[in-house]
Amino acid sequence: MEEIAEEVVAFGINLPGPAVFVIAGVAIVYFTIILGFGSYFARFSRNINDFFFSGQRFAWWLVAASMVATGIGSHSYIKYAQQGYETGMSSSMPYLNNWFLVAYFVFGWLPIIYFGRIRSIPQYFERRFNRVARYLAVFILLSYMFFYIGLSFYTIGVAIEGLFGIPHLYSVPILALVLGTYVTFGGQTAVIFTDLLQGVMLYTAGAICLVAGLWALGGFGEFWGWMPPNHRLPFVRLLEDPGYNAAGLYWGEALAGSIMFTFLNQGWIMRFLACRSVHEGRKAAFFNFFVTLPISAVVVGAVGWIAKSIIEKQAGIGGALEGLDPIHIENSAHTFVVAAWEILRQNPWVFGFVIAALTAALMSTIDTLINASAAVSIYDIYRPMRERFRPNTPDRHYLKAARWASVTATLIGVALVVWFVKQEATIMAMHYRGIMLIVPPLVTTLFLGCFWRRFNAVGAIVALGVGVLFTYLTTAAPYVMRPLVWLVIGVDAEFYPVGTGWEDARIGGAINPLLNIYMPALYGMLITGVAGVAGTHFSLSRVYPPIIHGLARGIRAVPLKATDMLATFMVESLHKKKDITGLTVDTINEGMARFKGGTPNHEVGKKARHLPVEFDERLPFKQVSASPAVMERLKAKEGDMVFVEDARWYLGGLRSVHTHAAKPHDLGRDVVLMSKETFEDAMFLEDRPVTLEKFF
Amino acid sequence: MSEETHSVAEKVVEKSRAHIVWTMTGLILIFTYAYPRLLVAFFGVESPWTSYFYKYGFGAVFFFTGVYIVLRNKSCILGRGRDTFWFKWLILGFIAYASVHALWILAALHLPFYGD
Repeated sequence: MEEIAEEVVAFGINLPGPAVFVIAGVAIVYFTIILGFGSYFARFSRNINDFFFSGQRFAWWLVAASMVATGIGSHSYIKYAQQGYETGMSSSMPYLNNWFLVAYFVFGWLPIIYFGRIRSIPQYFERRFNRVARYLAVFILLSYMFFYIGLSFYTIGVAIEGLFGIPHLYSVPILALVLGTYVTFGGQTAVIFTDLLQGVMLYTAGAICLVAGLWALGGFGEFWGWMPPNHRLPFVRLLEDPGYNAAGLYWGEALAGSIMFTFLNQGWIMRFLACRSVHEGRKAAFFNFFVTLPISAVVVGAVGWIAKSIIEKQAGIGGALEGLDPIHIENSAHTFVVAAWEILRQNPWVFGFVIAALTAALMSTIDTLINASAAVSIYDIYRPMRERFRPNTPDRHYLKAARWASVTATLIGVALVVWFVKQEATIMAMHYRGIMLIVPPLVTTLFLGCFWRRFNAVGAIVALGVGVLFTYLTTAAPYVMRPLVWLVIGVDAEFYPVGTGWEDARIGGAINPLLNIYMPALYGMLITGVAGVAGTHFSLSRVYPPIIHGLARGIRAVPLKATDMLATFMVESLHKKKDITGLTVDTINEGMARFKGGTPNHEVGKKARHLPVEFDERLPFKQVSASPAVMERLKAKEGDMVFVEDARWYLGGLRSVHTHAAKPHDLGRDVVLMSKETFEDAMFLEDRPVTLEKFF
Repeated sequence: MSEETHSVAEKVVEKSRAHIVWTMTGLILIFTYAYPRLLVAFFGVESPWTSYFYKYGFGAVFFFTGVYIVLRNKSCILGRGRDTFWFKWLILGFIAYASVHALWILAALHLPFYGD
C-alpha cells in the first residue's frame, strides 16, 4: 500500500501555492453545497421505509440519474484513465459487458424484489430458504460492505494526501463527518438527491476534460488519427495480457462482476426499490445499460485515451502541441491528474472543479454503501431480534436505530483505514480480491434461488458453505483452477510459451493475475452451483430424513439447550413447507397479484394530468376516487393500484403516494377525491394539482 | 388407477427432464471446449475478432438462456401489458451492442493512422 501512496503523492505535477488554495477552496465549497443539499432532503424521510427506500415513489429518470454517481466507482477515474492510456479504448470493456444479464434482471430479479417487498439480500435468503441461509448471507454481505467503505475512505485519503499533502489521519475523519451527517440524517432520499447532483458534476467534469482534450488535439479526427489502431479497439486481445484480457474479463467481469453489481449490490438494489413501479424500474435499468454505462465508460477513460493520442502526436510533429506544455507520463497510474492538469491548461479553477468531481465519485460510492449497510443491519439483524422480545416496536424507534447504524458503519469504515494503510497491495488488487473471494457463493446461490424452484434451504446452505470454502482455497492453491482455465480458455504452451513471463498461467502458478484476479470468480461460481444442486438433490432423496434424524439424536446426546434447539430445528425443517410465492421466476405473476391484493389489470392506459384535489373523509386512507372519464383514460378499475403525484413532473415523485382506486365519483367534473390523511401522507401542497397513473 | 397413472406420468416427465438437463450440460461442455479453440484456429489468437466472437458467442448462450427462462416461466408474456415493448428493447439492445462493437472494430482497423 505504501507503493500506492508514493505513486499518488508523486503525481508528477507541480502545483503552485495559489493554485493549491484555489483547488482546495473549490473542493470545500463543493462539500458545503453537498452537505446542505443532503440535509435539506432529510425532511422527506418520514419513516423507516422512506429512510431506506424513499417510499417507492420516484420517477425512473431521477433514479437513473442518481445511479450515475453510484456506477462510477470509488477509484474509477484513476483506474480507467490508467487503463485507457495503457490499452486504449478497451478500458470501456467492464462498462459495456452487462447486456447479457438484462433478461435475468428486468424480467426476473427486479419483479421478484419489488413485488416480494424484499428489503435486503439477506431478507430474500430467509424468505426463500431459511434463517441459517439469511445469517450466512448477512455475514458475507456486511463483511464486503465494510471492507468496501474502508477501501473507499482510504482511496479518498490517498488522493487528498497526494494533492494537498494532508495525511489520512486528518482528511478521512473530516470527510467521514460530512458524509456521515447527510447519510445519517437524510437516508436514501438524501443519498439519491446528492448523488443526482454528484452525477451531474461527474459528467460535467468528464465532458470538460474531453472537450478540452479534443480541442487541444485539433478535433475528433486528429484524436482518432493519432490513436494507434490497437488502442482504438473496443476489446483487448483474448489472452495477451494476463492482467487485462478478453477471456478473463468475460468470465470475471461480465459474468461474476456484473451479476454481483446488478443483483447483489445493496445500494443498487435500493435504487430500484425507490422506483414507483417495476415499469419505472425497467426504464431506469434500460436507460442505465443503454446510456449511462456507455457515457460513464467514456467519462472515466477519455483522459487516458486523449493522453495517448497527444503523446503520439507530440512524437509525430516533434514537439508540444500548441498552447500546451509537453505531456510526459512516467507512471501510468498518474495519467488522469497529469493529463487533466495539462489539457485544462493549468487552470486551477477548472482543475479544482474536476478534482471535486473526482472526489464526488469517491463520496457517492461511500454514501451508498453506508446507507446500504445500515439497511442490512436494521432489517436483517436488529429488527428481527427486537421483534422477538418486544413486538410492535414503533417505526420511529427503527428510524433512530437506522441513523445509529449509519454512524456505526461510517466509524467502522474509518477504523478500517488504519488497517488498509498497513497493507502491501495496490488498490486494484484489493478491490478485485474482495469481489473474487466474496461474490461467487452469494451470486450463484441467489441465481439458483431465483431461477430454479426446487433449489431449497439445504442446497443453499451447502452451496454457501462449500462455495466460500473452495473460493478461499484458491488463494492458497490457485492450481486447482487449472482444468477450468484449460477448458474455457485453452491455456497451453502455444499461448504461453516459456520465456514470455506468463508461464505461471500455464502451469498454475501462485502469482499470475489471470488466475488470481478473474478465474476464482468462475471457479467459485461453478463449485457453488455444483454443491447447491447436489445438496438439493440429496435433501430430496430417501436417505436424507433418516440421516437427519440420526444426526439430531446424536446432537441431543450432548445435554445443552443449544444442542436441543439445533436438533429440533433440524427435525422440524424436514417437515416445513416453505411459501415461496413471488420469490422465484415462475411465481412472479402470483407475487404481483399478492402485491396488489387482487387480480392485476394489465391494460395499458394513459396518465391523467393536472387534476385538482378535493377532500372526502369517507374514503379510507390511501384510496382515491376519480371521475369515470379519468378512470377510462387510465384504463383503471375499482381496486387497481393508482399512483398519485404532484403535477410538477420535475419533482420526480418527491410529493406522491401509492393508492388504490375507489369507486368512481359522480361529481360531474375531473377532480380527485381523497382523505386529508392521504393528502398529508403524500406531502401534497394546497392548490397544487396532481397527476394520476394506473399501474396494474 | 388414475393416481397411479399420474405418478407414472410424473416420473416419465421427470426422467425426460433429467435427460434434457444432462444433454444440455454435455452440449455446453463441448461448446465451451471447442468454441475458443475454433476461434483461435480461424482468426488467430491476436485478432480482435477472436475477442469479439469469444465474448458475444459465450454471451449469446448466457443471454438467450435467460430469454428462454423468462418466456418459459411466463415472467414475460408477449402480448400482455408492456411486456412486448420491453422484450423488443431486450433483443434490440443485444443487437445494438453487438453491431456497435463490430463497427468500432472495423473503424479501428481500417481508418488511417497518422503515426508511424
